[in-house]
Amino acid sequence: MIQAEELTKEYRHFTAVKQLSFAAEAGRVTGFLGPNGAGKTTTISMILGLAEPDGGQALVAGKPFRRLGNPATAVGAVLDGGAFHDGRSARASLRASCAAAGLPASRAGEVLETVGLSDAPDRRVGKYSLGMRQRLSLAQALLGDPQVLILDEPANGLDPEGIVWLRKALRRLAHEEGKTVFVSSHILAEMQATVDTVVVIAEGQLVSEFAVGELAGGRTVIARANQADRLADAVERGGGKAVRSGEQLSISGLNADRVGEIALEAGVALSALGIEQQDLEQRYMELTAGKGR
Amino acid sequence: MGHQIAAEWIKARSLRSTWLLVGLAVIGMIAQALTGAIGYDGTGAGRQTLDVMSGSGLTLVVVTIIGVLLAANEYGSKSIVSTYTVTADRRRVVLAKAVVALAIAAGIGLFSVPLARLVAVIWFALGGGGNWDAGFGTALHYDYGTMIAYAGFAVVGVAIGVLSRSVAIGVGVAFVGLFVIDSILGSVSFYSEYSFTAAAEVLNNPDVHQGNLPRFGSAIALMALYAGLLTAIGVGVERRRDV
Repeated sequence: MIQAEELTKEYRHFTAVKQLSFAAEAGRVTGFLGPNGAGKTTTISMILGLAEPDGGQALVAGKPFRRLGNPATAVGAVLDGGAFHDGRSARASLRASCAAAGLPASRAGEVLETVGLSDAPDRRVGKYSLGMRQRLSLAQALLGDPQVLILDEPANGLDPEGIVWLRKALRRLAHEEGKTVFVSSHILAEMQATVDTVVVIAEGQLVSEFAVGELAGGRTVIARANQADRLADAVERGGGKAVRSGEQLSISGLNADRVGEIALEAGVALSALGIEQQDLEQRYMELTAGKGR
Repeated sequence: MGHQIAAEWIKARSLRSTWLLVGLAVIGMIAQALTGAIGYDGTGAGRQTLDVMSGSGLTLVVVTIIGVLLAANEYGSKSIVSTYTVTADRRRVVLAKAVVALAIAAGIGLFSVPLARLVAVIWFALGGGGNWDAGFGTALHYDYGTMIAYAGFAVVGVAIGVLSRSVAIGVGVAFVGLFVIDSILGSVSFYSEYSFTAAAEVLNNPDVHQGNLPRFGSAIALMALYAGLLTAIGVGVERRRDV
């Protein structure tokens, strides 16, 4: 589990993160969203002990990162599109991490196979494509089989096949192995298909925290009728809320079946009746409108 | 700590630049030995032998660069992020880098006198003037003096690399700081006995003592003091800095 408690980070001229609190639970994939400059990378850096908070604290498995005895076995991270030296082979990079974490060198080969890089382990990382570097980053994160995974833009550079593979891998790690998976990305459609919970920040502050499943509950019924005013009155009397735009009504608080019944009872002929389901992108845009830095 | 040293050794040995610099360091030692042999003026073969065995200034520069690279390379490539997400204790990381740099430089220094002897043998076999005139004790004295000098400079290189976080800046600072400013300050009478480069000069030439330079034992202490102090500063700063 990851907990951010009143996390604050100030730089000379601005506050990057301000009293940010949220939690990423075990067994779930938590998405971390926000506009550029929202403070996502700073927050992840503080969680991983790479940056010192000026206020509050970030806990991984109940402890600040720097107090974890052997971090590689507690938390794995994918950052910066692969933080590896271009002149070193993938195998050597991972073996160095294995040695530092006290893991057997053979573990490097195992994770390279897991991420589909077993055919190029001795190639220099500088010769890897961006997608291969991302896979290598994931291999590095998985080395110690940690309970917590933190991934910053892990889908960058991946081909469609790689993105599907990543989505399945992250969901399997969370849902089948009970790990805490915390992932930031700008690919909202992919996030909607991958994550269970979303944490949205803007200007360094928490904007919203919600389950992706809630989006299905935010559906809007769209109805078209010549007598839109009459239908709007009937909908209001029926307990719904209608917003009129010409002949079209956007109705919330009622399902499509009920709107059809109300129209029938009111004697209003409908020319169209449908459902507009809110997706993560719409919700995100509403939440962060005008909040980019 | 053993695990971290093993990790830093894997990182060092898996980069071509490390081996290229080790090769350059060996070339520096060969050049020094050749210069000493060629400089024979027909009198006093003992002085010629000491010149052949003395440590190389070029190699001092190269081992310093090795130290800077071992530390600063990680920041340039951002692989320091991987390092610190695997090892949270930054003190261990910096100290392990210093130990590996020390071992590589001392390893190079270990071959200094044997290499000088080999160069001398070839020189004399090719008809070069002079002859070898040093006992085992003198050779041993020169060998460990050179090892300590190289090791000290490599450790200082690591500290500079950690503090600068940039290979280019680190190499520049090391060169200007150690080989220009310290050398100039070394010509000032008071400081000459405490200068880092003066200590290296004594360790590289232990049997050629000049009055304004520190004694051999003092040179070892100075080398350890400067290397230890800069490493402690590097650790202290690195533990508080964001990545």
